[in-house]
Amino acid sequence: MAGPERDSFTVLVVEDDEELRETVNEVLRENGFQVQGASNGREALDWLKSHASDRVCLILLDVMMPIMDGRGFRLAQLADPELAPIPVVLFSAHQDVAQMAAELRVTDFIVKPPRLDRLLDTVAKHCPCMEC
Amino acid sequence: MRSHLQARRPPVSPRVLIVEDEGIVAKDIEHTLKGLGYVVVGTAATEEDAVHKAEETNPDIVLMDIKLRDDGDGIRAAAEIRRRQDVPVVFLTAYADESTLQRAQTTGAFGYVLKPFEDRELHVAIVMAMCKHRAMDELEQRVADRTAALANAVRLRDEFMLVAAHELRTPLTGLLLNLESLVQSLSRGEERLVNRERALKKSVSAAAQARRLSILVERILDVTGLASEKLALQLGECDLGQMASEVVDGMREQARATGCELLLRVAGENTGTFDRARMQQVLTALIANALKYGAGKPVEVAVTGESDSIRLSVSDQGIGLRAEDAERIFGRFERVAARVNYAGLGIGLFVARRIVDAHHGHIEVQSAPDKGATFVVTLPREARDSAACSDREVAHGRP
Repeated sequence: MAGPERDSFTVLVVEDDEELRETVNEVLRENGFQVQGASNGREALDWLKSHASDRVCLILLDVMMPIMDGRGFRLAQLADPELAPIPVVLFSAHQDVAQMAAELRVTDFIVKPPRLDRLLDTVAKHCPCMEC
Repeated sequence: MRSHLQARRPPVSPRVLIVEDEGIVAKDIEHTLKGLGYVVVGTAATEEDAVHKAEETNPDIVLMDIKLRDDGDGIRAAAEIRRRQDVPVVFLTAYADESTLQRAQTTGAFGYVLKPFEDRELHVAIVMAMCKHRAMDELEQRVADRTAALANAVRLRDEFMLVAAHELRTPLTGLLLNLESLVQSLSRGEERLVNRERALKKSVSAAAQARRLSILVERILDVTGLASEKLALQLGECDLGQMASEVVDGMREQARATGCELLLRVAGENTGTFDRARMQQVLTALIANALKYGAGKPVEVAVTGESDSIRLSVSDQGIGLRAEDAERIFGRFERVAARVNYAGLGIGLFVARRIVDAHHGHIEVQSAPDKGATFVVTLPREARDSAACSDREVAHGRP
């Protein structure tokens, strides 16, 4: 079956709200995805640089975060040739998330709060289900 | 009277434009004005010339005859001049009939002097017109300032709405995802039993997120209510030491997450008349603030009973703040730090101050950058409900 590559399989969830990050991670795990969490852009970058970033199928990126926000993360990611190809989906409650998505040249965006289907469909477009 | 008028004369002689079609009368007025210390910048005899000379000489005041040469109309000329420039016009005329007077009023006449007139009458009319003009300018300036302040308040409120919507959407997202995923696993149920532990975890998380939403809604309503100055207190006997102990216990978990140790020191007799729930809100806001900016170092809460008052203080050893920010942070929607970190509505300290004010207490902050901050609340032991009092006072017409 044609679908997302099985050798890149981790969804990186970058979200500063701990309770929400845990919820998203739990829901994705339950639906067969492998997940890694980061609480801000800096933490996400550090994790990507110290792990096999080619295993990451998708970065789900919040915009407003302390220390390094989504915009700062995206700019740093684009500046790094190893990380630049990883697809990014903005995950934000921000009013102008669509405009931001265009500016930051990301793959897609999800407006908070999303439907569960919408979240799972978006992730499934890029990542393989490990338990399906 | 004369000395009073002379004293009021501005240091620079006012510049006057005379509009009068009778040459000899114009000369006479000019002579009088010069004698009174005015500068005559020109004379005009027609409607057109009046408008033109006013623009050219930019006088401080225009003296305007009503019947002008070539069927000209002084009232029309005055209206045109006023449309083009901000200068007071005083009518000088022999026509005292009601309809002329009314027509002159509609152009915003600053004075009306009937011919023939005494020098002093003219002088008083000019001084009064210039006074009135100045007062109107000041009023316009005040209206402009007030309008700008209102526009700023609207802008702040709009920003607040955006921040509030953002803050609400975060727990709302978690709540919805938890519930939808519960529905998903329950409806899948036949082949495999629903994992009880996971379902419980989701329910607990959903409940926590719903509680967060509810608290946010309360706080948003609070700031709206408080802004309209209708903070009604529910006063009762309350031991602030005991209240502080409960609040501190309730915030231990939050303190652990930020790495700050939370200490409480209670001294003296701390019972008085307060709105207990509101005072809890004040202390919670101060502690939350200290934990947020406390850089992981100990936060100390102290309650000290003195003879007529009780002192509540919350000290941290964090980033502190600059003297110029000490007042600003109590404003609505203001934050200690830059808006990079959007966490929080930016209303905690504002609400705290409003509550303390309603108790006729006092709140202040002692701090310096990187030297931590100490927020001190001083409350009279017997608080009155200020909102209720002022309402009663208004109703009974007391000052």
